[in-house]
Amino acid sequence: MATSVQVKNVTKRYGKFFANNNISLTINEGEFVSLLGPSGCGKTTLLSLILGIADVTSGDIYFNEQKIDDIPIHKRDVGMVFQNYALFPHMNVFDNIAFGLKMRKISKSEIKTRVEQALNSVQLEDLGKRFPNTLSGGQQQRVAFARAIVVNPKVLLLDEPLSNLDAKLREEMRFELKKLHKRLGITTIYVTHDQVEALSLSTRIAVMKDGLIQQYGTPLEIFLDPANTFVAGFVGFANFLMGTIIERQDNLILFKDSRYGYQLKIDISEHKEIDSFNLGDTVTITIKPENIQLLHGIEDARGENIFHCKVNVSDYTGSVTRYELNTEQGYTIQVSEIGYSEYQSGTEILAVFPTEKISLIKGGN
Amino acid sequence: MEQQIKKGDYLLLLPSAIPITILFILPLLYSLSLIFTTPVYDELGKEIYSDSNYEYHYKGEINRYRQYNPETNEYTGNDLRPYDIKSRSEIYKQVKTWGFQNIKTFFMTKRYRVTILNTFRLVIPASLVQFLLAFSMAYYLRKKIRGKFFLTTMIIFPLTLGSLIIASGMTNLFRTSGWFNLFLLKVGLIENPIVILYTYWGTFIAITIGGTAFLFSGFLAICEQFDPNLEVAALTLGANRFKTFLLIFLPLTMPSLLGIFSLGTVLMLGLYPSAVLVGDPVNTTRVFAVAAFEEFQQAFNYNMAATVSLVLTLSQVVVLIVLGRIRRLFYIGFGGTFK
Repeated sequence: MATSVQVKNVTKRYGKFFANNNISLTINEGEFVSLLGPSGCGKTTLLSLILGIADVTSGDIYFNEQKIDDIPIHKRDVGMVFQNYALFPHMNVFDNIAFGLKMRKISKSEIKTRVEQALNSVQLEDLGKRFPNTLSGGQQQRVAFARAIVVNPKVLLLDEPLSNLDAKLREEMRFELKKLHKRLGITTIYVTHDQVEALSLSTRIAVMKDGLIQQYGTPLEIFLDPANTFVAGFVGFANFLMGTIIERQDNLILFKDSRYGYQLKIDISEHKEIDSFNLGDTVTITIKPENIQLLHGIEDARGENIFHCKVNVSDYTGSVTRYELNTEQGYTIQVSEIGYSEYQSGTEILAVFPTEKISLIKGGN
Repeated sequence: MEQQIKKGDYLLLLPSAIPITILFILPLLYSLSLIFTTPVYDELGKEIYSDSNYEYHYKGEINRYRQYNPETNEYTGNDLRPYDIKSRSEIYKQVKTWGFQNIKTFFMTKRYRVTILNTFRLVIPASLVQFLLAFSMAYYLRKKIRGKFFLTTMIIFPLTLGSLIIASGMTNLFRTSGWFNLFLLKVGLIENPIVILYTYWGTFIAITIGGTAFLFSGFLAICEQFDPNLEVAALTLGANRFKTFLLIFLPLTMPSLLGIFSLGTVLMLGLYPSAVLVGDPVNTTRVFAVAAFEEFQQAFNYNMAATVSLVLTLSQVVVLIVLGRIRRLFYIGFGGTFK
């Protein structure tokens, strides 16, 4: 049976520095939750509190309603996969995986079957006799997974396990991790600073900054409806403008930017809290670079949300071409076009913000 | 990628090869030549000298060396005074024979033979005690803790003193009216002062103070470099602190620890000042260096001094081999992470 994890009002302080500040988080049985945030946001601290290598300053952590603060780390039954894998270099792959089972005093024959099963599940059947330093990064990674899951831990903690792999392997392992979680159903907590990993793997994501959880929700909620500009920025939004709502007709909002005086129409019919936006509210709008349309060679474009810009920088990165555009008023717009396109810097161009692609965030910063 | 060594690359060794030859290999060859030669003595127990034509034999009653022709087996009339010979040793070479006589003498004579036993009786227990002390402190101090810098400095401090100052400090501390005995008397633990100075234990304590500091300075770096994730990994897998230490920390750090330990032990085998100053150098702390120094400076028997040194060197080699064998029982590699 899977385990739920409750973090209740947990604070971790190092001197005057709050690494975690009154954090509450509920993780249901079998969920895959990512702690997403930039380095120094407190995600690893929270992980080490759940793991047991650090003690909470205040607050409690529960596994299935059972308080675990006083349970020593070796009895918490938490599986861990480290960024550097932390395989025991003096043991071969078989002994590495069998280590946890031996500590649980399980009979030799059962250890053998279970280790073999674990090796099978990570597709390393023939490597039992090899030593970790003879394995590739991806293979070490699989051994680390096998070692953590073979003991059927209550909770599996993953600390940026994919960050040492090359891009292609990282994608492969991401899919395997997804399949593995689906098959085993272990409650998993995944620490990462990579939004793509978090969005693709998680059932829910906790976006963290400065020791606080900024938003906790499903990937879709966070992706479509970021709670604040930090979350928006972290999951790929850009082109922020702050201003007020000056008109509202059903689901159409007219927004006036307070810095440059731009007026934009926004369709909020997809928004979760449609009714909470009122006339005169201070809001921030944002749009992802890939959702902006570029128009070139049209003299007198008419319509909504059109910006007259000049190309400042272009940057082709393989699958997309990124542009930085400047308006006359000095507003900088980030745009990504799929594929390769060729607008030299200095080219005059039109940028269109489609009404339904603009996200609205309450408040300004 | 293995790089090919070109012929000319060996020239790069010259800057080290030349000093090693002059400072190490030549003296070694000279001392080997000393070991395998024995001076020939006449019936009065005096050295015989030769100028390649004549031998010079000591003539007791008039304190002269008589000229002697080995071919005709006759003494001639020309006598030399002892200082004539000593001052002109290039011409008057001491008569020597080659062979294993010195080595035989070493093992047949008790006052040489005991140096082996005495040295090992001191060094083996002292090095084990040092290992335990240094390792436990380094293990404890491997993490960032409050006051680490102060504690580390205090533990390594004796290294800066050298054995002479440690010994003189000890003579103040441990003498019958020193702080150590005064304290124990006052507390009531003892009725008569404990005699530590000028015994086996005086030397034992002196080398332990310096040796622990030496080992600790090396051990700390090894323990600090150990990847803490490996310990956490073992803990999460259900191993308690002791098992984590025993199954993960110890086997992975042991090879490096033994490396430092062999160096410390080998250095300790040549101990001299603490054996003489706070030990009992005519008896229990008559170690290799004491005997070698005695032959060299008091008896002027360079051959025997070199022989004692040879046995010392061989003991060091034996210790290195034994510890090297033990080291090979463990996984030899980097106990840190490989990324």
